[in-house]
Amino acid sequence: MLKDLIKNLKPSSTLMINEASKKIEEQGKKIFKFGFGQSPFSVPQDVVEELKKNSYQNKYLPIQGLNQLREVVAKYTSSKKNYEYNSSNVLIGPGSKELMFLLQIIFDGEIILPAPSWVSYAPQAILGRNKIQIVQTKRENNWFPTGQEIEEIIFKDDKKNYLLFLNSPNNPSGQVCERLDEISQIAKKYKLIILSDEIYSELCFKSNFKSISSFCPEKTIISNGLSKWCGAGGWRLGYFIIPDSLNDINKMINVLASETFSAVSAPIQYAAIKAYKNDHRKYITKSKNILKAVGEYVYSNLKSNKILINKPQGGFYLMPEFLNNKFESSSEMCNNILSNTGIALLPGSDFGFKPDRMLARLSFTDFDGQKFMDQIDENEKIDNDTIKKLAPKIVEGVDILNKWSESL
Amino acid sequence: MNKKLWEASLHQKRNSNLFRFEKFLAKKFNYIPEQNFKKLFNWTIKNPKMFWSSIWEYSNLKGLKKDKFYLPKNIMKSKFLIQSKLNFAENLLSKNDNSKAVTFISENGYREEKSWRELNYNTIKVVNFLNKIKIKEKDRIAAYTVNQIETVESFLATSAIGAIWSSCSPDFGTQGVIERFSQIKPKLLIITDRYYYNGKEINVLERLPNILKKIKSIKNILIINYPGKRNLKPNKIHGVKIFFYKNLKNKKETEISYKKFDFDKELAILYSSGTTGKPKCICHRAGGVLLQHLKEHKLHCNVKEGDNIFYFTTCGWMMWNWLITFLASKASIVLFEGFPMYKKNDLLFKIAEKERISLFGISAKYIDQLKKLNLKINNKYKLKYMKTICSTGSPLSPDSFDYVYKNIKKNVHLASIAGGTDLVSCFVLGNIYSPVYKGQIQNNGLGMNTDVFSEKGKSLINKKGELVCKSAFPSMPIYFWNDKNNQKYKSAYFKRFKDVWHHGDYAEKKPNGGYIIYGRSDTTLNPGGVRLGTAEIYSEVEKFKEIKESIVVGQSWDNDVRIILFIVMSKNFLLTDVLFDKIKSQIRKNASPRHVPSKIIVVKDIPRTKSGKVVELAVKNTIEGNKIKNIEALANPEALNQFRNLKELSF
Ligand SMILES: Cc1ncc(COP(=O)(O)O)c(C=O)c1O
Repeated sequence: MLKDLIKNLKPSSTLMINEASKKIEEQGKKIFKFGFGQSPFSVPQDVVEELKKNSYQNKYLPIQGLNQLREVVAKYTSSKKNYEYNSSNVLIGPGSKELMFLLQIIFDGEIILPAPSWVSYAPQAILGRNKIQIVQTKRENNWFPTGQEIEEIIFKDDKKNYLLFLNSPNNPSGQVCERLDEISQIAKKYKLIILSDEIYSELCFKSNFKSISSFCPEKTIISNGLSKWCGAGGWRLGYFIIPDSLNDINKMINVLASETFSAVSAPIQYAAIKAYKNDHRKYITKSKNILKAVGEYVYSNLKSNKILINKPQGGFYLMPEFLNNKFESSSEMCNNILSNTGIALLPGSDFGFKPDRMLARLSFTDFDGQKFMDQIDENEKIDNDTIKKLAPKIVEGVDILNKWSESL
Repeated sequence: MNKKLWEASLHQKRNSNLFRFEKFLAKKFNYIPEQNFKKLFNWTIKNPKMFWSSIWEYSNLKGLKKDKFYLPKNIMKSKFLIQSKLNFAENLLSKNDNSKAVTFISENGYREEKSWRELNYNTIKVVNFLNKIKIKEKDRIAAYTVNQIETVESFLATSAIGAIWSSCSPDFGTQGVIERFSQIKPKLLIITDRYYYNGKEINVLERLPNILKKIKSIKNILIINYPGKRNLKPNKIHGVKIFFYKNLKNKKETEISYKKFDFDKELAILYSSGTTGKPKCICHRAGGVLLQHLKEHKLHCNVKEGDNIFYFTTCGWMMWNWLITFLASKASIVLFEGFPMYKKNDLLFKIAEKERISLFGISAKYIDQLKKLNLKINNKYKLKYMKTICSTGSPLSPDSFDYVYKNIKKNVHLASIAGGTDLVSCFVLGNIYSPVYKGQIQNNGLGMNTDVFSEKGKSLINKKGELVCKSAFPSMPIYFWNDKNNQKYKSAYFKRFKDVWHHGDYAEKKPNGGYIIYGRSDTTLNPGGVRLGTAEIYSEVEKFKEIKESIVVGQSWDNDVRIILFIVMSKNFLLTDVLFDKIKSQIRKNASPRHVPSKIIVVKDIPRTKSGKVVELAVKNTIEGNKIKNIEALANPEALNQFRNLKELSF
């Protein structure tokens, strides 16, 4: 009784790796959860308090989101980008993922996905019945497409509408896109709009995160939320910022929202106001410093002639490539790693790479973020000893992976 | 005067490994190949990390490479490719087919050849044996062996399991062997039963009881027969197990998985000459030595797969280690054992022609001898395959440069090379881009910031001074054995100049980047180009009750160095002919034939410092008519007078 379209979808590989890990854990073996990307940090205390205070809020809120919240989000965003957004540009949803899904449903055209891309873009495009065009990226371009590579796709049929998913800092590569200007030129030249998934932007290791929206604001939808920087993935609150020039999209997502989730949970929206209104720079700086130190630890201790990695630039991930011809596919390799070492990684094929490229995503969040944060000062330089003490599983896992790679 | 003797053709340069390496760098870094050695050299000094890491990649080493370095100002503490892992033997066993890997030739022409497959197979055989007798990582294995294929296999097997190798050739006397091996407490002694020198058979097994009496750590003995001869049987010895190499078995394995060790894993212990006290045990690392040798072989010697490499050496000299590593470049090696002029002055060239040697390595002293005999090699031998002649051990004199081009081969890369046991490799050597100038070593090694310093540590050009190295390099010793807090290590190289390796060679640097080396700047003896320590002579002389005191120096003589022993007689004794012969024969037996003095001269007193140390350098300078430095440090400077204008030293 299932639709063919649906039948062919598989459960997300993130979930599969968790199940496989659990099985191994039940056999009494130690598991290194380097597969799943979840913030290691707790939600800031003031935001938690605000949620408690607002637990009584029981009314349906406006479909587009609580006005006050949209206002602070618009203000917060405008202060970071050189573009003036107001509350009408903001759309609150139960996670940015859901909003992206609705965008796929309403959009008529082709979807351009760089490989690597986050695992959910492609299935959502399929559900939205949009054709997918994959751009294979290169390591030397930070695993992002170049303007030319995008143009080559559009050039074949420039009558169509195109929607490019650009996720920087990137899941899975941990890289930041540098060719924003060149990509924006293409957007301006063709019927191309960009979904700029900036869910990791607050966790960009360099302070001057640049968004494509600063280069072509009229053609960019910004996507963001509480899930990553605020450690509140489970709260399910994300937002879109849609410029006036794309007002049709804004309107139609609202229509679909009213027919699906109605509105995001009220207490969460009230608490989110505080998340954007209060000053959380200290919390964010500490998070970034810790992630940067741990990420660079993994990078510098893992990279070798057999393991190529680009230095992480933001977020929770890096993407090692294990040079070998022992395995047929990256998923076979990841299974081998999991069963031999207890280290869970996601294969590069899940992110759109050809299966014979031995890439994998490594999430370096298997540590107690709250404890780590409590034990360091805001601007403290985090040395290897601190990492050994506060993120021991990361250190151990890296050692084990190194040993494993010797046999390649 | 710079007289150019040879330069590679454009074709040779374009087809060289050096150019290939430059192109390799160009692909990876912002580097433009120009076939200019100086430019490449400068790049390697500016970018040591990229350079050494590139050597690994260019050589396609098996293992895990981590581009982590620690290169502080204090170069002694430097670390290269930290956490990288490899297995030395696995990388030397770079092929596993039926082509020729190693050839043995003895002085009388007996020849054996082994393929890569056999070499792999036999190495595994020895690995199995070492495992069976429970040799573990870092255990020492001592080899008192002939330069034969089994020695190579044993060395490979030792490094394959992470044990530490240490070898002496059989021309070392019992005492010399005990002085060396007793310091490192080996668990296994590998010994060749006998050897031949100039037709004479010498039994080595006879020495076993004395050695075992003094080195109690040896619990197992592996006896190798001299190639082509039946095993000599030892007498039963209590408390040790005896095995025979030819009885070792392999379970038909031709491949095993080699454990990868740290880049800094100990490989071998080599011995300093023992100038002051016992010979120092210099412990070298597997990864660093491999990388350095690959650089020297591939880039400086232009060695390629299938080349046949010959070096006249024994396993008691660092050039043996240098020779064996050629296997890592997929070249085949030729081992020679015995007297190089046995029955035929040009014996080695006969071998070179027959074996199609592409790189022919000998000591400078050997070339000097050919020159003295006025041999016209090129009239007799074709030497079509000979691309490179390496000369080392002592400085190659300008006349010998001429001799090589005139009488051995016109179109050949003559590379005079110099380094030492301390680094099992070279500071200065050859390259295919630069011309060969008469009397000059072509250049520094890539990545080696070698220089010549004045006493005050100022860089000198066109002036004689101390050879130093201002950069760290991966084949520096890891440490000296039994050297608490690295005291001996530090004082051996880093006492003279701060954070700069002081090598103790007397050298001159030319504006074109070439080097001339004049010999050791300290008192080490160097007859025939082999570094010898005086201590081994002293320890013998001391045993004579007839002799009260002695001092031994090297006298520059006939483009070589000869050993002069001065003695002060004890009361009521004279230096009779009987005593004279007894001193010589005891030194020959217990130290080595090379240690035997050319002259023994009686004096009344020996100059000493105020703290009682005899001062060889002052004596050497006196007999050679040079100025004496630091005379105020002497307790009895008047003693020097007897050494002036000695008649005995003029013939
Ligand atoms: C690249 C990327 N985009 C979006 C999301 C989803 O975020 P949300 O929790 O807002 O749905 C994630 C989370 O895994 C992500 O990695």
